[in-house]
Amino acid sequence: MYRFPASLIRTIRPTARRTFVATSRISQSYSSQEESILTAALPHVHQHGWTEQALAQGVLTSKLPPSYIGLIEDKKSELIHFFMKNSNKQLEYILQQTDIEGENMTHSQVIEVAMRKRLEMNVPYIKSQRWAEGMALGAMPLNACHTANHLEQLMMIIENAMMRCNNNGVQASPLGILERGALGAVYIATELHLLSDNSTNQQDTWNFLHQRVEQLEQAATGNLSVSSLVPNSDTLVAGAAVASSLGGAVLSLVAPAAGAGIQSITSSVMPAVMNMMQPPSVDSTVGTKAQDYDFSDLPPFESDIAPKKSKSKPDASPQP
Amino acid sequence: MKRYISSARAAQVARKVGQNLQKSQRCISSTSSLASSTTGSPPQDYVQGSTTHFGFENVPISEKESKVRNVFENVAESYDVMNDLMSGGLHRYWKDELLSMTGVGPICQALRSNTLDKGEFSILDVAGGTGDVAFRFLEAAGCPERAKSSGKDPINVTVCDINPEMLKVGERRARTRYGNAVLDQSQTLTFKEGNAQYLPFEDNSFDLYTIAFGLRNVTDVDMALRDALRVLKPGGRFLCLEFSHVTNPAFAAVYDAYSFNVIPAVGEMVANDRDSYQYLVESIRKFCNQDELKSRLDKAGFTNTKYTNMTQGIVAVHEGWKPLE
Repeated sequence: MYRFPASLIRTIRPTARRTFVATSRISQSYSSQEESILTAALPHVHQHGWTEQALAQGVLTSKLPPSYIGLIEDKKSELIHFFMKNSNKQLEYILQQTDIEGENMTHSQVIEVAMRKRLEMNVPYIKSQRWAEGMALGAMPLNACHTANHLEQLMMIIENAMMRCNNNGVQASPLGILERGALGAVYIATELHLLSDNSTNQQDTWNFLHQRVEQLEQAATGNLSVSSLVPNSDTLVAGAAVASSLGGAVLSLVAPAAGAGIQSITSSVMPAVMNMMQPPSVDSTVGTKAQDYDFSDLPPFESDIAPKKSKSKPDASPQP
Repeated sequence: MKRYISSARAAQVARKVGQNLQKSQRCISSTSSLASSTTGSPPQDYVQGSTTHFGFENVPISEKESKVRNVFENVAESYDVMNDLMSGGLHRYWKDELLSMTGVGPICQALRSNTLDKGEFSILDVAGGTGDVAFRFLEAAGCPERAKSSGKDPINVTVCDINPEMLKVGERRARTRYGNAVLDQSQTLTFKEGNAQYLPFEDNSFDLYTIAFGLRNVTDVDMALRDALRVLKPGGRFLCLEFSHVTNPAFAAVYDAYSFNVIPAVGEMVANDRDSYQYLVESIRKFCNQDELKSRLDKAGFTNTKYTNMTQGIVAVHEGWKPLE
C-alpha cells in the first residue's frame, strides 16, 4: 500500500519530461499575435466550447486577418493548454503579490490559498458547463503529458511560495516526489469536486480542500518525526492512504481517455469519478467497522484473523 | 517549430546519404545543381542560363512551359484516377491535412455567423485545375449551402490553372457535384486560366493562396513566389503542398524503386502515356528540397516561413505570410 503511489508518480513523471523535450510547446512562449488570438478566444469558450470555432471567433474579435487562424498549429487543443498555462502564470503573479512572510502564513495556508485561487479561475467555465470538456480534452492521450506538465508547473509555483514561509525560522526543504504527487492529487481531487458543486460560492469545495490540506499536513508532520521511518507507523499509513486514493483519481482521469472520445468521458466517466471522490467528511468519524463485515460464511484458514482485524482497523483509519 | 527543427536535422542527414547514393544509383545520377545548395546561404536564382530542367532532360527556358502544358493536357482526363492509383489514395489525406492547416472550415463558419463584419474571405488555388483542393475549401466553408440563397457569396474560391483542359474537367465536375448555382448565381467558385508567374489578378486580393502539386512544374519558381506575395492581402497566407525529399534513407530507396518502376508502368497501362508519368517522377527528384524551398520563400519576402513534412517527406507543406503593413 505504501509503495504504490510513489512508484506510480515516478512512472508518470519521466514520461512527462520526455515529451516536454520532444513536442511540447509549453516551454515556448506564444507570439504576441498568437497570444491575442487565444486571449480573445477564451470568452467564446462559454458558447462554442474548447473548439476551433471558439478560436476562429477569437481571430475575428482580435481584429487580425482571418487567415491568422493558421498561426495556431494545434487548433483542437491549443486553447485549453493556453488557458492552463495562462492561469498558472496568473497564480504565480498573485502569489508574488501576497505577503506570505509578513502574514506569517503556514505551509498549509499557502497550499490552500494557492489552490483556491487557481481553481477559482476555472469557476466561470464550470458555470457554463465547459470545464468538464476541458478536463476531458486535457486527459486525452495526446494531451495528457502536456496536462501533467501544467500540473507539475502548478506544483512548482506552489512549492516556491511555500519556500517563502517563515516557518518558525525553519527553512523549508524542496518537496519530494511523494509529497508533490500528494499535492497534485489534492488539487485534482478538489478540481473534480468543484465540477459537481452546487453550493453557494462553491463553499462545499473549499471545505473539501481545507480538509484535504489538513490531512496532508498531518501526513507531513508525521513524516518528519523519527517514528515515521517505521513503515508501520500510523501517520505514514494514513498519509499513504490519502496519497494513494487521491493519486488514483489522477490515473482514473487519464486512463479511460485512451479508448474513449470526449463525449463519453464527460458523460460517463466523470460522474463515476465524482462518486468515488465524494468527501469522507460527512461520516468520516464513523468509517467502516469490522462488525460491518460478515465473517461467518468464510472458510477459516487462520483461526485468529477476524479478531486481529477488528482490533487494528480503527487505529489505522485517518483522523481528520 | 520543434517539428521543423527535427525534420531539418533529418533532412541534413538524408542529404548526406543522398549524395553517396547519387554515385551509385542510376535514377539519381544526373546530379541536380539545385539540390546541392546548402542551408543558410541564400539560394541561387531558380533559373540560370538559357536552359532549365524538364524531368531529367534539359530544355530551353522558353520551351518548358509548353512542354508542361502538353503533359497535363495528355493526363487531364485521367488525372484524378491516376493520383489515386499512384499514391494509394494518400493524396486525399495530404489534401485533407492541407485543408485543416488552413483553418478554412472554422474561420468561414465564424465569418458567416458574424453579423458586424462583411465576412469576406477569398481563396486562390493555383494549379488546381480539376478542383480537388478547391472543392474541399468550398465544402468546409459551406458554400454549396450558401449558394441556395440569393446574392453573391462573400466567401469565394478561385481556381487558376495554366491548362484549359484541366479547367474544363474541373468546371464539369463542379457542375455535376454542386449544380450551377455555385458558379453562376453565388459566384463562389471561379475558374480562371492563368500563369502562376504572372497571375491575372489585382494586387492584395486574396486571404489565402494555395498551390498543391503545382509549384514544381512552374518554370521560374522564384517568380511565382513573388507573384503569390503580390496577389495576397497583407497578413494573407501562402501554402504550398508539393512533393519533397524523403528524409529517411531506407524509405527513400523503397520510394525511388516504386516511383521509377511502378508509376511509369501504371501510367502506361491506365492513361496510355508513359512519358508524362516518367516526367512526373523525374520532376519530383529535380525539385527543391524542404530547406531550399523555405529559403526561396524567405527570399521572395514571406515572413514566418516554415515547412511540415508528411509521410516521411514524400510531400511537404511550406507556408509563409505576407507581412502586415
